[in-house]
Amino acid sequence: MSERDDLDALRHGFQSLAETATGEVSPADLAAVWSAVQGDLPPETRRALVDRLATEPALAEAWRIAHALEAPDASAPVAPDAPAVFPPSRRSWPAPWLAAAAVVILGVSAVVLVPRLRESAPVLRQPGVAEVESLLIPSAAIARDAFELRWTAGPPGSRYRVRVTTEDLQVLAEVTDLDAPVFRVPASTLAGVPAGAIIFWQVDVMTPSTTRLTSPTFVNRVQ
Amino acid sequence: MTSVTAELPRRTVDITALRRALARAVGRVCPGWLAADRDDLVQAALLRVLRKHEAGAGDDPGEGTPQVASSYLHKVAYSVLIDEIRRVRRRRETSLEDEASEPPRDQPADPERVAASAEIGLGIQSCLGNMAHDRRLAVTLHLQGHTVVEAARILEWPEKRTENLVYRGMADLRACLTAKGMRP
Repeated sequence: MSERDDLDALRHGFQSLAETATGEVSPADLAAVWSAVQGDLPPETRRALVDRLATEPALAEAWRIAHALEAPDASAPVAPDAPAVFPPSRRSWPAPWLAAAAVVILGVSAVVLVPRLRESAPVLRQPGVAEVESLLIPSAAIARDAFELRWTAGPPGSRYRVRVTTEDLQVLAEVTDLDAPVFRVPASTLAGVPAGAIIFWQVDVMTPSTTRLTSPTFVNRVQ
Repeated sequence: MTSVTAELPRRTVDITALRRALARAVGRVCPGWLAADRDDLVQAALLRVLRKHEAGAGDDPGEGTPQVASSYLHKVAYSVLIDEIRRVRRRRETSLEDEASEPPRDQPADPERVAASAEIGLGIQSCLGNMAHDRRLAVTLHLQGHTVVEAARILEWPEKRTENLVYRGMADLRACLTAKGMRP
């Protein structure tokens, strides 16, 4: 058996575990996998997720599906003046991944492209461009009895949904229908979280005209 | 402060491209025993994605609007596809229980080979559990089908380091499988 055949057999064996996997992937884990593939998770969280792929076949399968959906479509036409679909500052993965993602997006170019071009200053650059930014200092430690999350406001009448998780993606708090761009995580919720622990949080903005905007995953620490 | 606008251009869904993306994903993950269901899977997933897109039946009011982003559409396709694969598997399991005397139409062509593959899979899982942490991450991604370059990007490690980890990790894995009496 050649080395290539050997690798193929090992890959097939590993991936075939999903066929008989009994455990299902939770919605939170599915979302985490998607975020990881999008490059939205911090490296340490992404690595923790990869570690779980070794022993959780259903999660590993979800990872493969997410990657396959984000892989470049060889049959899709590539426009020479492809727009920068993903904001470089948000993506921590280097250019080839962005290029691959851009090709996919071009493949479904008739689908609406919500411009997400991020530039250095959090301002509206062109019609239709929208961003949700944290108003906290990235990775800053916040007192657990004043753990107040703040972000940039949507248009008047917007509603917000916030999800707060630990580093291992355990959901600490999830609130919906907030009418102001602020959420204070109850101290009791953080009681079991050790000092210095990383907290992830993400905001969905539902505008009055029912457009939804999802923020990147923000990172802060509990003091 | 950033302002958020809802006034985005109205566009339509490129069904051909979406179907292509779904077919690619199904082709990548669809196991042999689901081969007969591939087209049905793609079609069912496509219909559900479009239904969600048109009816706004997502988790949030904005998800079904014409202003939906392509990235959102792919995310919906991702969750729908996972649901559909589960559904087909459940149906197959039920079919196997109900029709124990008859071979299912999508029965694997070579059950022995499938069983051997599953055994190797369990062996790999066991070996990975005992592998050094960083090697395990690199090897896991390699077994998932990623190249060294891709794994390095995902893990945000230098390519040379990732390459070494994959090389040594794969050597560990082969030695571990051999010690278990397994050969791929």
